Amino acid sequence: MTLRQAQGQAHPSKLTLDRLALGLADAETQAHAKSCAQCSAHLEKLAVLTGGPDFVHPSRLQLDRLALGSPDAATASHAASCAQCGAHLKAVQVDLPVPQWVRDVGTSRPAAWLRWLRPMVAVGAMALVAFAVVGYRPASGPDITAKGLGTPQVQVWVNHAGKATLWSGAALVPDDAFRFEVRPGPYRHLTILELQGDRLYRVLHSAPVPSDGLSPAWAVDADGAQEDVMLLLSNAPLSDDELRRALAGEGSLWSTRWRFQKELR
Amino acid sequence: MGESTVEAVYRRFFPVIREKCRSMLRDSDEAQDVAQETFIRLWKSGLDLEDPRRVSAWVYRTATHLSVDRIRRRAIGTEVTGVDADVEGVGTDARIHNRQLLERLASKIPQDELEVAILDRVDGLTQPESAEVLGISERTVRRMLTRLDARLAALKAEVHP
Ligand SMILES: [Zn+2]
Ligand SMILES: [Zn+2]
Repeated sequence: MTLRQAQGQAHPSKLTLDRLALGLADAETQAHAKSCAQCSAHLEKLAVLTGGPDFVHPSRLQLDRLALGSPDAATASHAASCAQCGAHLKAVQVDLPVPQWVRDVGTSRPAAWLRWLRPMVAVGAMALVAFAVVGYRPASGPDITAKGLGTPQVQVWVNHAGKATLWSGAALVPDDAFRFEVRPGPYRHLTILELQGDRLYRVLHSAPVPSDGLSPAWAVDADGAQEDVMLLLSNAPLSDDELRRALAGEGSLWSTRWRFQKELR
Repeated sequence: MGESTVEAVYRRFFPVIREKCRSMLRDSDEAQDVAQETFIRLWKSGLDLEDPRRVSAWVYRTATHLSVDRIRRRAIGTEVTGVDADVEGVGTDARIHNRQLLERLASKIPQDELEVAILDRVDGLTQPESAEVLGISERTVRRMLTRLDARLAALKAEVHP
């Protein structure tokens, strides 16, 4: 009998609980035990027997950190008595033979292999940076085109070597990060696209405009000569059709396009 | 520890990177490809490799980002054919299910939300951990997950009216 059929009347079997305590993933039993004094007491007893303070598995990040040498006695003792977590620990601690490409990476000069890297914008790279909002100036700089109705304003903050300033239009270097500050006017929804060769490459962000007007931040990679980003304001999330029309320069959405030139060192 | 030749760094970190990529990408060549790229970036990053907390957060962020990039590129142009369940739950089966669902819907979900979704629903990270990995606040993580669920519900309604 499963819990679903029992409609919460029956407890899971002792065997089912024991298996859960030993690390067999079982969302239903876990959910039941969380709200059932009798079953959670049984699990707690088992957890004491198996040495773990908790019958819930540690996250894989905790396991990986343990494997990489971060001391964590609770996770270690859980993994010692849990087949599933033990197997993960073993998998991330195997001794791999070193393949040739690794030796090539070690000996080749950085500039040569930087070119292998594909386009990348890393989300969140500078979300922890505090931004002082200084006197507001309308967005300006080279290669910006705005179209559409209304009076929204957008400016770009650039974080270079840990220091955030308004973008001057200067070329960015790899690891610089940028984010938009938006005064949305009458609009409520912000969509940010990455373009390549005038075509949509991907939707970087689509969400209501936050109250502080700040978008996520993206870090610049070392690939290609520029980052080409389009920012769209609307009243609701955009349909595929609206996106297509905006990219074709049609429709009445408010948009700006930003091209950040890159300078590779 | 303490050895910093590329071989030593590989032996120490690559298995973690590889397993992380395998959990996100079902194609093993693709997983290996992304794992290599993540490793090369790590080697080049100048990160203090004696700090497992920072290195692991960096690896999770970078590998997730690169994988989502792959998944999205593959998904562009494919039709959404079925949204059969919510992206929730714990346990191995739920995680595989979640990964498959996110893969199918990748073209409909923005990059930043997909990254949070992978960490939360496929890797099973706690919200504080996801926030740490992505360098955003816990509140932002929660907000993005709420948005993701709303998006999934809308897609579901679209596919099964
Ligand atoms: Zn019970
Ligand atoms: Zn476990």
